[in-house]
Amino acid sequence: MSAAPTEVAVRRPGARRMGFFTDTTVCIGCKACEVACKQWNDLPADGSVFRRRSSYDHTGALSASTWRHVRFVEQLEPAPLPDLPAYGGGDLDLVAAAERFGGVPQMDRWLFMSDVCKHCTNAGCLDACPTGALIRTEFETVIVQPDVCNGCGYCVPSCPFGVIDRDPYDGRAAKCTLCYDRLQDGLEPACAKSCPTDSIQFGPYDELVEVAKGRVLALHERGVTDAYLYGAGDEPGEQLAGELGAFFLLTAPPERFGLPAQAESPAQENGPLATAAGLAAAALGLAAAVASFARAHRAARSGGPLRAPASRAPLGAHPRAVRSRAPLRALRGRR
Amino acid sequence: MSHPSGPPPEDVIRSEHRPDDRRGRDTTPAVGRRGAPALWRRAVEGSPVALARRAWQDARWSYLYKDDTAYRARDGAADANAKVQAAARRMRGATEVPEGVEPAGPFINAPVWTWEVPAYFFLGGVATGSSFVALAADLAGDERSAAIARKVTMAAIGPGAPLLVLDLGRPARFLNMMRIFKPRSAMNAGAWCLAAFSTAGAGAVAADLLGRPRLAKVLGAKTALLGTYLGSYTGVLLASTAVPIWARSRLFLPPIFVCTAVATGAAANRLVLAATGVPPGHPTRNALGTIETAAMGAELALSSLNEQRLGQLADVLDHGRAGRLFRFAKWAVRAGLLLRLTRRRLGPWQHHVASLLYLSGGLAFRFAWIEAGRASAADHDAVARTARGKATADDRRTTARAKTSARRSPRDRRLPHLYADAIRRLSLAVESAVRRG
Amino acid sequence: MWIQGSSLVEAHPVGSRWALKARERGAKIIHVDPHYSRTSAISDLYVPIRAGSDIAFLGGLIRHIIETESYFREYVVNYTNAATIVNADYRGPEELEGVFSGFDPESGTYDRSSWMYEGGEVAAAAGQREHSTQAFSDRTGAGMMVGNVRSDPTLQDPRCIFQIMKRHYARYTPEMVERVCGVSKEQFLEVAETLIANSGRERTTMLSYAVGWTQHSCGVQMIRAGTIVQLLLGNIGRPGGGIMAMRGHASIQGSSDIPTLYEILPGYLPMPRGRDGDLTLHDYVEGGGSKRGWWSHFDNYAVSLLKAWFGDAATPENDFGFGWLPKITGNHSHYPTMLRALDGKLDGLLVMGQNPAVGGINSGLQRRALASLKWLVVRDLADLETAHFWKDSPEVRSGELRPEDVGTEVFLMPAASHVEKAGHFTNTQRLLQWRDKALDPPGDARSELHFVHHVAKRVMAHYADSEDPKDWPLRNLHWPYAEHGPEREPDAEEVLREINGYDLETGALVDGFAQLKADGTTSSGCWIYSGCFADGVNQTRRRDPGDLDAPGGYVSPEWGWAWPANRRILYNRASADPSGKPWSERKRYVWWDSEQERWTGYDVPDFPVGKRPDYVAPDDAEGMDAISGDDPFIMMADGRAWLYSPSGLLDGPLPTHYEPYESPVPNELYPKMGANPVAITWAHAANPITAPDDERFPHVASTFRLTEHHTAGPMSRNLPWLAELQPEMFFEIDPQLAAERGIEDGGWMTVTSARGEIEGRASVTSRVRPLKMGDRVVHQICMPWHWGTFASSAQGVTGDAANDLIAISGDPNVSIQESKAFRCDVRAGRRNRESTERQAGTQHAAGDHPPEEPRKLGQTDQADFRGER
Repeated sequence: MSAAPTEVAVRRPGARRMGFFTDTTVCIGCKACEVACKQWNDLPADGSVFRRRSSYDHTGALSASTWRHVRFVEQLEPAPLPDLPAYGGGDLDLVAAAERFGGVPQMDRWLFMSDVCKHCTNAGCLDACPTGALIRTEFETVIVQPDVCNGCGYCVPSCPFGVIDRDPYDGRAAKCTLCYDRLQDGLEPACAKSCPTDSIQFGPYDELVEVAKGRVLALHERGVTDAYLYGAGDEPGEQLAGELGAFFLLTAPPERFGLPAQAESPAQENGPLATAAGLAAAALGLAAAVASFARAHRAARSGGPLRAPASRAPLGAHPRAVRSRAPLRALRGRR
Repeated sequence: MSHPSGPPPEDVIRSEHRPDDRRGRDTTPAVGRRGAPALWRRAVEGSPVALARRAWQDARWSYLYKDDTAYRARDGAADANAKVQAAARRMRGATEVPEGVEPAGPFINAPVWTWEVPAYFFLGGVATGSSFVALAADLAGDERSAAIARKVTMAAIGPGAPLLVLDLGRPARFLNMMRIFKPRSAMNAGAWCLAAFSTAGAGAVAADLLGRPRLAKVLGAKTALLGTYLGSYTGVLLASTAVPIWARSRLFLPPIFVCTAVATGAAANRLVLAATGVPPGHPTRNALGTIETAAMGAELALSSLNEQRLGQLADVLDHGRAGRLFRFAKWAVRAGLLLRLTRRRLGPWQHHVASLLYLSGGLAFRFAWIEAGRASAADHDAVARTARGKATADDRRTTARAKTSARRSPRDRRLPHLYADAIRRLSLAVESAVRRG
Repeated sequence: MWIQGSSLVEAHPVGSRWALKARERGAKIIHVDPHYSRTSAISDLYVPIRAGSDIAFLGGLIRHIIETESYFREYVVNYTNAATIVNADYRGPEELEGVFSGFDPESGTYDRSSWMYEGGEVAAAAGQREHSTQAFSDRTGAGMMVGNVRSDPTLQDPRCIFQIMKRHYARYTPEMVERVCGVSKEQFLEVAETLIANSGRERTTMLSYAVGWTQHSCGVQMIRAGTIVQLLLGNIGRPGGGIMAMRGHASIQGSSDIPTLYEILPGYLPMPRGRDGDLTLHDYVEGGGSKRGWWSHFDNYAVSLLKAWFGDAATPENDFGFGWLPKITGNHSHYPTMLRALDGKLDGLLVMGQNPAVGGINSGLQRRALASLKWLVVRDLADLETAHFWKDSPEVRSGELRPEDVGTEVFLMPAASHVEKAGHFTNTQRLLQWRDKALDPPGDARSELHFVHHVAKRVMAHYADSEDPKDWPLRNLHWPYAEHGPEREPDAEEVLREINGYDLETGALVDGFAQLKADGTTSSGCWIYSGCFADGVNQTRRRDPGDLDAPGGYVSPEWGWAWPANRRILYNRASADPSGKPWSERKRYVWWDSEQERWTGYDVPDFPVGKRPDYVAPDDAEGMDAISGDDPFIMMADGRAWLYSPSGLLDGPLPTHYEPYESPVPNELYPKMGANPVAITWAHAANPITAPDDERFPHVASTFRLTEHHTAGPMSRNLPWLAELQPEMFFEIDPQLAAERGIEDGGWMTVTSARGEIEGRASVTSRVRPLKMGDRVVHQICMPWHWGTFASSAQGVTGDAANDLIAISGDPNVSIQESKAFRCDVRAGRRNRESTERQAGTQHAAGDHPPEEPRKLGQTDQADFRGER
């Protein structure tokens, strides 16, 4: 499934949808893609911070200046503690250790996953963008036009994958362009080019999906039954944002990689309903206002408990004057 | 928006660089530039890329794409699709996060908006409410109050636009908001609506001042009608994001915001009218009293109802800054209601205090919702569960439905394109005129 | 694929694609390592092992293979020296409590005559030798008389090597492996069975190691042990088998082929020794050359080398200038040299592409040594610690060194990067690949070739009219290189031509070392590279993979050029059975073509092409005639692969488990014996070694590399894009130890050793496991060593240097330091003094041993060390 033809902003005869197939089963976590991306797109470093509990990942997440990001997942399985005190290590209180760490869980798997903009078919950022800075290219990728973006920041919470971000210094939103400039020259994107193990594969979308399906089957035959495609090959009802231009082969639940199990362009999912509800409520509110005014004034006219309208009272009239009956008389007088 | 102090570190390095290359080779350290991909130029314009194989042939080569590595689609595997789909369903189909899997965030980015946005939400609300009041007053025949309400409307919406501009990362490019007409983007529609609303409102006020009551009434009515969207779209804006607490409140947030709008609008007008001498017991004041109370009551009711159905997602509503703001807002409103509904007369200030409480409550609500959004986006479990589809009481499994209607784009029509481009240039011109320091 | 002592994926990410492809094709990957790295992550089986206990593990494998009779019998009997009978008076460590016969506790050396084959005798030269210079005759068995060596093909004779091995490893049981290495019995057996199942006629197993094996006090023996396993399983000289030594960085192989080492000349010719029997070309050839086997061509190579150096000045009359070559008088390797510098006995140092202030072992000592030089020239891509030690280093920060007091005059010369100069890399499988220059180096940066060329010209000019005979080499150096361009850059290809060699009569390039002669009519700068310019074509520049899908297409002989003679697999005659037929169709590689009466195959046969498989060498044969048709290992005098090496190694003919110098546990196998008895230590107050009974440092530490950084860091730590990926020095420790010491993940922690203490971030992770060894648990601390205290870029990162912690020590054969296993202690929090302050003031302490005379680590030395504390 591909984007509506009406949405494609750039036209080029013969252009096909291009995409990424990132196969995490052959990723070695070398981060070459991350560096190649920054180098080609000339993006700044995010600053060197040692991050806790982050395994070998010190750049944290995709951001305005990190368009490829390698996640490190240390998957543990519980294991019994060595049942004897450490040699020469003084007397070790194993109970305390156990309480503190819940035993010494054994390393099960160390998973690496090179994350990137998904170039969704139903792109939340694209739907949200009020300026039209975000467009869909002839390769059905989603890019930001830096000369248009005015940094409203609406695309940031509108991306269900937490990809696009606004640069705090620059003020504009930025994200992966699938190396639009290289694509135009018939070159593969920098990250795919630099991947030493072809964990990142680039090509015409349909072909990639076919390759990926074959890969999943092959892995199943080999006994890797966890293998599945994230973002491609699903039934229409179960697609992620109408299929992802950059999809993944994963071997663990998406949550381990910071990916949502289901996703859709929020604007498309919630926009119409919310608008309807809002307008209805507003209409109701307006009606209610009108009604209560009408009622109040009708009551006033019918001389009920309500009293003088201020319209005839001199501006800035003293409250006492109001409490006198004169205005009332005047009111009757007008009748 | 708020900027980190000082220049970006990479600019420092670049500025410290001394070009010392006798061969004229550019040795500026490649430390990156922000906000946009690099613009590379060919040494010789239009020349082919050396050693590159055209048409992405480079990508076609792979040491892995070989039969001997089981890396090609199984031809004729009839059930291939079914198997692949089943595999995906196993891993991400369930409506619960699998046992023992701790969601490893970050999943989504928190909104980057600062105080300007909620402030604008509040003022926009007041303006909407006032426009309603103006229309209602007109229809009820209280022209003087209507005229005042119209002025209040403009007074409230006046700072709105500047606030929005302030919040932009590139304020000088604010015009780009009007570059295209894009109904599916709540912010774009809102920008247009804000423009129309302000124009109509301003027109109405002008008409009042020029003593053209009929025109003023008509324009006032228009303003109010536009107000129905201006007052609700802010809710839509938040609801159509990936932030769990907002998205899952998609049916409640806009009504809640409308209520706040009506209530604060009415409250503002009540105080202004009182200040301009409308006596107590005057039907307009009474009506406004009724409206603000009813609206705030409704707001409170809707909020708590929403909180109920949000279940765990609502945690962010009573923790942290959002929690404090919400508590304050609710107490303010409750106090207002108490003052309003109590039998005993406590004095002339009683109802004014109530209105003030409503106003401050309304303001707090706006900030609270933005804060809640920030917290919710950072709540990995919430995001994960929302995505799984079993986050709230009334959640069905979220499925991807193609909404072609929502994907209508004006870009493929010629004239709007020219227009859009013109605005873009204008925007850039403005920016280059007023460079940010 | 069996990876041990190496982290392929971390250190060779691009090369590891082939490991992954092998995995894709169904190969199993086994990783045995103290540290769970990215390599372990892609492996089918990861086995944590205590750093430095590898020989016990390998010995266990050898025993298991022998006991279960799973060895490749035909291969072992015919192609190895398993059947050869050894001297009657040989005794092994089983009988002598951990040492071999001939051990002299006083000198801490072996008299190795008793290790000889029965009837064989060691070449005269090999008995007395300069310390740790790997005497060439030993390495190759050259000069051995093996004519009347007895052998027992039934492998039953109690004195045949097979039986000796069987006895030698009898106690290396799985239980023992568990007690010594901390490897569970189950895991050990899984490894053993997998290796056995993947070896034999139909299958082969590849072994890959790196400095994780090399850098131990018995590193050479670890590699030998790995070799024995591979030989027993028949995995040498066959496709998909062999031993891959993963190199530290680009062209390290090249730097030992055309050595930056002190004890060999280009092409592994020995450095002539400064004493009788080695002073004339004739003696040199006699001592180095061999009557039998390939090394009978020794003289051709030596003379051609001299002709390449001295050109026309080299004549038969003047021994081709041999007499003027520098002679070796002792151990002139890096460490003794730096220790000499430390004591002010070295004037100047030329450091090219090296960062001893961070990468040098006991780097605190190295920095102090630099401070006592008169001058220092540093060539590198970026400003680095070695050029900066006098201005900012732990010693300067602690006040021990004051910049105004440091007399060293430092010259920092900008160097061209590899894309800014032409030349070739030689990678680990001896493949030479030419690189063209992509762009000019910036500013004053120049290639090494440019630097050396112009320095040499100045030096030669300086001595042009010197009368002193010792200056003869400088006056007569053959230096014909033309200069090109405004920078007067020599042409690297011209140098490669000289390395390839010329026929001096015709002036034509030779096509290979077969054409080299000893009469001075040919020249060659490095005989093993001879042929890289065959047909006048730069063979190393070729990039044609050929038809990869054709049978044997994977050999790609047209891609680059491999020494020797573009041979991709050495000893590949072993890929065919004794009769010359492939062991199996699946593993067909080189075979005897009976029609054409010649050896043929996918690769260049590593054997005389016309020699029939059934040729039997007569006893009195000399040269290559002495190699029979079924002796594949033609570089060895007996044509056999050595399971047991009668000569060549200084610390025993068979690998034996010794503990590292610094080990918290006693030697389970030989309780009387701790570390390798003949290994080297340089006893120096500034280089203390922790005694076995020292309780202060209970944990085992080991160093490793990260993909994100390159060696000592100046090339990667200063690049923001790389710095952000691994921003700070850190230590990986197991949660149990962390709990014990109250160390928080991501918080600061300090590691101390006898040499110093360094700080870094704690990475508390289950990738590091506490090892259960019999009745004790040992904790390991793994640390990268890429950080130093200086950054040349504002976004560069700095950190403490792991090598500050490590002692200088040496393997007896190659004097490499033991840096992969040492003792340390850990605590939470930051260090409270500069990293090497622990030893400040202890250097030049009275009574320390003259550093240039290395001492064995005998009991007496350990007493001395205790005395120092």
